[in-house]
Amino acid sequence: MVKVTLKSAEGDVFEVDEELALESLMVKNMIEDVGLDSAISLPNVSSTILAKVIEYIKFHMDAQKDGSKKTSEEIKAFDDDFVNVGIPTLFEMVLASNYLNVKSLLSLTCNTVANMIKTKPPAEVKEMFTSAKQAKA
Amino acid sequence: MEDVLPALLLQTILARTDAVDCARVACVNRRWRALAHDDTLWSQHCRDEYGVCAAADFMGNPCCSFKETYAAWHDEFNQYGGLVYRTKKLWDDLKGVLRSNYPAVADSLARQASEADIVAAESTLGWPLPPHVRLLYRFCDGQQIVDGDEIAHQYVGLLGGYYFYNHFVNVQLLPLQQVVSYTQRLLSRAPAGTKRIVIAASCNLNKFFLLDCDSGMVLVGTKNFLKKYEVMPCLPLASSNPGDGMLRWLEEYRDGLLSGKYTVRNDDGIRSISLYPENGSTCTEAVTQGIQVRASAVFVPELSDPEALEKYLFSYSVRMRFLPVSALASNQCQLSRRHWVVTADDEIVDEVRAEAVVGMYPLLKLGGDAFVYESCSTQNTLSGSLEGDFTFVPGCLSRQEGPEFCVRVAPFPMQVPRYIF
Repeated sequence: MVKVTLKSAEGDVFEVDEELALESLMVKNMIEDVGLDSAISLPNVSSTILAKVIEYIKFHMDAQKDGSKKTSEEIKAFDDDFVNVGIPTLFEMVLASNYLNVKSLLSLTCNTVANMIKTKPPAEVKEMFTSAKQAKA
Repeated sequence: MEDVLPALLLQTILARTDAVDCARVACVNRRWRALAHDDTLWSQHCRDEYGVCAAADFMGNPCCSFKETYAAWHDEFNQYGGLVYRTKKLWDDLKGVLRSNYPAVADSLARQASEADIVAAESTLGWPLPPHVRLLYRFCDGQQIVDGDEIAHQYVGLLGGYYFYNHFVNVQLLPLQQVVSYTQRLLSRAPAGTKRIVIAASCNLNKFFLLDCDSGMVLVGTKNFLKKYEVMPCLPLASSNPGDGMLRWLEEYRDGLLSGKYTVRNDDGIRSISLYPENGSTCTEAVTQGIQVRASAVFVPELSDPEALEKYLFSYSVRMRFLPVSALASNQCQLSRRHWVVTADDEIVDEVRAEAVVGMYPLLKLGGDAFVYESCSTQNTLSGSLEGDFTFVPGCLSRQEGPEFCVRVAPFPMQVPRYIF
């Protein structure tokens, strides 16, 4: 199996299967442009978030494989648990899945944020984004 | 302060919320307001919530933005909630399929009834109409047949019909004014306390559909309707979404038109929607020696008597055609005898061997027109079927050109359907 090396913002190196790396359309384009010889640098994604993204892709790839015994309930449970994080982390995952162009994860995280906005009064929406900003600063 | 997420992503997120959420976040601050005013967002809300794709209000007047369009529809229909999308889609689909297949029926569909028209009808009736029924009329006030000749009037029923022996029906969806007058005429002596209205009827008053305003259920009059107001339900009871009977009933009918189950039939130049199924599992087909026989049956509630021994009456239509390609040496053949096997609840209950069909000996020509005939049969169970064979002679009966042969009629169901039209 061909491996791809991904380098996070902090310079940490993640070695993953090519098949997994290609789930990110951004990485796929990079590989097509520059080949597999050197590590692919992802300066916009932190190590923590990159690890999460890899975990997400890996789970879903395994779940889709023939012979996978994962039920749709188990997959849903994984997704629910996956986005059950603090707002700052959630926003970072929105940004990372957008940057890496992982459609399914972008959809999952955006839906999660949308559901949080739903039924919240404006002041709480404001509060949500302020806390994220402070955490980032 | 919201620069934690770029505008494009906030927009992606807002696109996953509904109109009420968008209106609410517009109050957060100036940046959110700008985002939530984006018209592509509102064009999406118009489409998702109302099925509206053009910037125009309910009456078709243009609006300058989708946000304004949304507001117009919201003001008009807020009280009806999620029914609006389904009702609009129903009428759009019906008008579309009729426009391309039978424009005369599309032309007969009336303009929208106003809220005031509905209130007037309700006050004459003395009780309110269910919300989904009000909404159906808000979009289209039934069929209003103006000028044109009397004969044509009989055939433009939106809800179609059938014709066998001397029984003819072709059912029109009534406009509110007629709903009220028919209800007063036909149901004035009905048992007190039943809030039923006549929603559709054939011109000759052979067949009526009623709506129970309490349950939202659509009902059809049986043979005993005029004697004792006996009716049968026309759709299965819904567990999840009760009270939307007339809408569900019309949706099922629309699906039948869209799928080609019900088609426009041309009898000697007179066009009408035929309720004999033309496809699906209820219409069957068999080809023997190049002779194709298609057959299907329709349940006839207005001649059924659930209390009698032979409860349910079905009319069936048989279409036979000599296909252009055949192994037969003759280029025509003629029917001489029929053989029917009647099955009820999977048991053979009757067998008929007799001359001809409906008194006729059709002569089929190679590649020629189909011979079509209708007849009827009664049975005492909800579910049965009919099958059999026709004996043909090559050439014609007076000059037979070879040995006679049997042409199969594949079994076709005679079942009281879940949805009755």
